[in-house]
Amino acid sequence: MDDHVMLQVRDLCKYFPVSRGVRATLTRKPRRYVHAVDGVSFDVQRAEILALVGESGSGKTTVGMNVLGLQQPTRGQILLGGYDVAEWAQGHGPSLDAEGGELANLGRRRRVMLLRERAQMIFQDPYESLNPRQKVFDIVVEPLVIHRLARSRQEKEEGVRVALEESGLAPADHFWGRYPEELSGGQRQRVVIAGALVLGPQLLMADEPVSMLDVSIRAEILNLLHKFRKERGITILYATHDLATAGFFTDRMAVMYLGRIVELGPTAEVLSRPHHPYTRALLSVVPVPNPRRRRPREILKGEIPNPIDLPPGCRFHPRCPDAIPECRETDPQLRPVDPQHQVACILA
Amino acid sequence: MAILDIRDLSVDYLTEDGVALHAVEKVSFSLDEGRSLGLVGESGCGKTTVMMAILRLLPEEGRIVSGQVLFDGQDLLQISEAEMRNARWAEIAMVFQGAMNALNPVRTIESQIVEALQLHDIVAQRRAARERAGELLELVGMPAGRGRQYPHEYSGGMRQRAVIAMALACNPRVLIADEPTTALDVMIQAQILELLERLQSELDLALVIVTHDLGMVAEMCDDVVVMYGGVVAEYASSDVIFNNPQHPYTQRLLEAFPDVEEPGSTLASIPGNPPRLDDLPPGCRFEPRCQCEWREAICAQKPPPLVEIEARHWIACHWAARVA
Repeated sequence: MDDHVMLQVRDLCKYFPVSRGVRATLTRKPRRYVHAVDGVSFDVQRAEILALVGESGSGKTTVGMNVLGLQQPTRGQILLGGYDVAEWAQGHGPSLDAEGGELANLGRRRRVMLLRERAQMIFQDPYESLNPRQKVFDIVVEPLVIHRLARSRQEKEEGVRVALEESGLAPADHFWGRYPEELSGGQRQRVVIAGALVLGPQLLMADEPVSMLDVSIRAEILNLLHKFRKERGITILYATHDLATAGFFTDRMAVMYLGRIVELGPTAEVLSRPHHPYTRALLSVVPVPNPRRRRPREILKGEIPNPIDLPPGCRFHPRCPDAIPECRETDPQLRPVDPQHQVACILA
Repeated sequence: MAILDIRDLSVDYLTEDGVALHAVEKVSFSLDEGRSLGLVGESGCGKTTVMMAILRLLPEEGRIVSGQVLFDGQDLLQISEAEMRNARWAEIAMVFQGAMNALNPVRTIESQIVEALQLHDIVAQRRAARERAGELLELVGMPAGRGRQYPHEYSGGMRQRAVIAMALACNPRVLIADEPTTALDVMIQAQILELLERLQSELDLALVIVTHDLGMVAEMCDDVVVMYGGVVAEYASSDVIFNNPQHPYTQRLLEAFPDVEEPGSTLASIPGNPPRLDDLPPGCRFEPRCQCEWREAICAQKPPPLVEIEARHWIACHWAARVA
């Protein structure tokens, strides 16, 4: 396997069953599914930052959940450093047992722990993802204790100190005795990040990590993630609906719509030459911080349709300004418009 | 002529120990009929407090210490509570932050609008009130029939439209919208922005947008008030604020805002945190975070006054005031 590839996602599908009423169950109506992610494939290189961009309901968080092994894919495969994440999360499977692999001789529990040590999540809302009754030290040390990576008091303090200080909370002992409520939003998010960093992950899934923070602090947090990539070679998936912050610090961008990737390419190129009409529309509504550059907005009517009854053909055609009759019939697949740049649109 | 003229408004919050925290100090700005004004600042800078004080809806601990709120020349702080109740909604209406999540879940949207109409004696009869509710929903871009649905049947964007419809129920002349697009998706944000723009021109509304989102202000406001730590830092037309900002805080804030048309550019941040109300710096409130090279002793000692450095461009900064 190519050593530079950190993550491979192959035809990932995740469907959630919709609960049926009594009548539907009795009359044996077919069970219906929410198609949260429906055939998503992409690779991420080591130390690369990939943006997953889309509105709520586009499936970006579900992709992240599956990548971390927190959900089991309905179909498709995710390889993290060559191992199948779904098998990894269960603790057994052919990809883990293969001869010569580092996981082959580990126990089930140890394997799962190793997955957590490889891939961690940064949650959106630092006001809700921290236990208000735990001190900063206890929050950050918990993973170390669970993973038995630190035993003595000294080891624990050292681990927490490094994680906090790398996350920008220095000196660490100034912060670790405090409760989350004593910290500002930006500081709380740094605690969340330290908690993810303390296990030394190779991959971070950051799900809207700055959307709850003030503008003046957002850059600090994003710069911090950038630093981890540079200094530690951490691979980052950055899920967001904000094209502007994605444009500022990611290498590549996957634009998602209704469970599919509709456009994938180098960030600067996708933003300067968007091919998919959905990307174009998203881009046109991003506010530009200058009244002299007000642009016409290409506003899409309505909202993302519900992912239970998907539109036939191209999923975007009911809202697409450029749709032609054929779009109702053909379900477009991602295809290259440039060597690095792929678009799923028959008109592109 | 100014429909809303705020002069030297100061608001304190009293703590349980009886200490007065100066949440808002000497805030002044004015809004002309049919124009739009953005009130921008980070969380805790006092922007919502200013709006609540204008509507006299401060929580119990809040005290308006001084100042005037002139609506059409009349000081709203001097009229009786009964008169204020009439002015509220009929003259100045507000879309509260998070109001879309505060709709009554067990009543239809229509009946909630009808309630507002009847309480304010806009329409006495129920049937007429229902018709008016339908009109209001159509005004904000929804089919009138959807009024018979419950809030849970609405998406976030539609709930926000319904809340705006409610605010417009009594034909106000001023509409205050507090973070009207926060928590909505980008495309829905754009839809709400278009709606507000359309309503403003169709109904000749004077609009105040309270937000931390500079982009939104650049897109739709004529004038901008930048607040920091409870005081006005800079106040000018949007064109000046975004193209010729003079206050170090405004300048840094703009550098921190990502511009999608210049991807890959560096994004600055402002180290440190906004001041806490119980620990306000004695001088300029931005001084502890200010990295301006012209900073001097007076910045940490005396709060800078708000001065008009050129026509319709006010700034509270010792250095900038002297240079201009």
